[in-house]
Amino acid sequence: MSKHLERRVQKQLKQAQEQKRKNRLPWIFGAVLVVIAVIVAASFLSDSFDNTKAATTNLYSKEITLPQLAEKVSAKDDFYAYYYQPSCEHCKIVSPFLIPLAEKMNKTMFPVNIEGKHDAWTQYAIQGTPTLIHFKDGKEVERIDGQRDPSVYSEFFANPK
Amino acid sequence: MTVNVTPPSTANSSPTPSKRTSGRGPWFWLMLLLQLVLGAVFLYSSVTKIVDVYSFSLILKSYDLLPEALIKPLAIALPMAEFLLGAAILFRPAARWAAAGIGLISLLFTGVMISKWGTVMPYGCGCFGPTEATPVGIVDVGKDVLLVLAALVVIIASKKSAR
Repeated sequence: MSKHLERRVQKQLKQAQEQKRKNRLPWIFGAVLVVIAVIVAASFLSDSFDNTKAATTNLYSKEITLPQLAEKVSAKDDFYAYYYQPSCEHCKIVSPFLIPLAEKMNKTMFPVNIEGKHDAWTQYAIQGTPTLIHFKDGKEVERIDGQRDPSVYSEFFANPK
Repeated sequence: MTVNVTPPSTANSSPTPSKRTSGRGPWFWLMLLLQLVLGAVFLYSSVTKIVDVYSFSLILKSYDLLPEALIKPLAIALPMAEFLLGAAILFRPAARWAAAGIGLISLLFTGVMISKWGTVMPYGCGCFGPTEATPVGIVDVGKDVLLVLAALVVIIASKKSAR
């Protein structure tokens, strides 16, 4: 009788262990999937980081700070200030064609990062980014607000006031 | 050898139903609400960082607390951790561990915010991507403290509702 009970108990324990193992399977499978997804996502984000950094560093190599901009304005230089923000989607579209265009047309243009610098927004009456302002004789001559077609910028550079 | 094992047929034969099956008490609903709130906050926060990892690295740099070599790994790892925790807290079996993770991360953020109290951060607190430059104040610290408290409540509620 006791042998029979012992066998039954052992059978139940075995079944319980097997059930436990079976219950663990979806967790193990899920964990493996998550690890794979994390590795893929990390490599994708790393590439995205490097590409954005390379593009930003090359594009905005002539970038000036706000004090440098103020100096240029007070020195009455003839130049263009390109106000942008790294997180601005329109700037990401405009910068890759506007910055090379200014170089091609021999225009002195300096990118100015105004992300989070609300004093600069007030001082230069910026409504949004990108904004391109032509400074001459210590004051603003004309400007283009927002994202425009390359032809508009080309016209702007070609016929300065 | 005597082994005391309850036969499977009688394991759940108690005349009064257990709390889990009798109904969903206030702890259950509180936990569900906080799971949804914390999940939404962390998922949204991670997505705003993942879409522009480079901008997030500039935010991390603006805190001036980390060596340059750690900026990129952290700019990648932190949004991913937030995404995983935000997703995990929505699943009840993982909710307690995810809440512990969220609580720890939020506690870390609280410490960072307190260390920068009154400093004007060029991209704002950066909790949901870059924003206007603002000095760190009670709103930034308060947000993180609330997240820590919510995570604590989830941990407690998960224990209570599991009983």
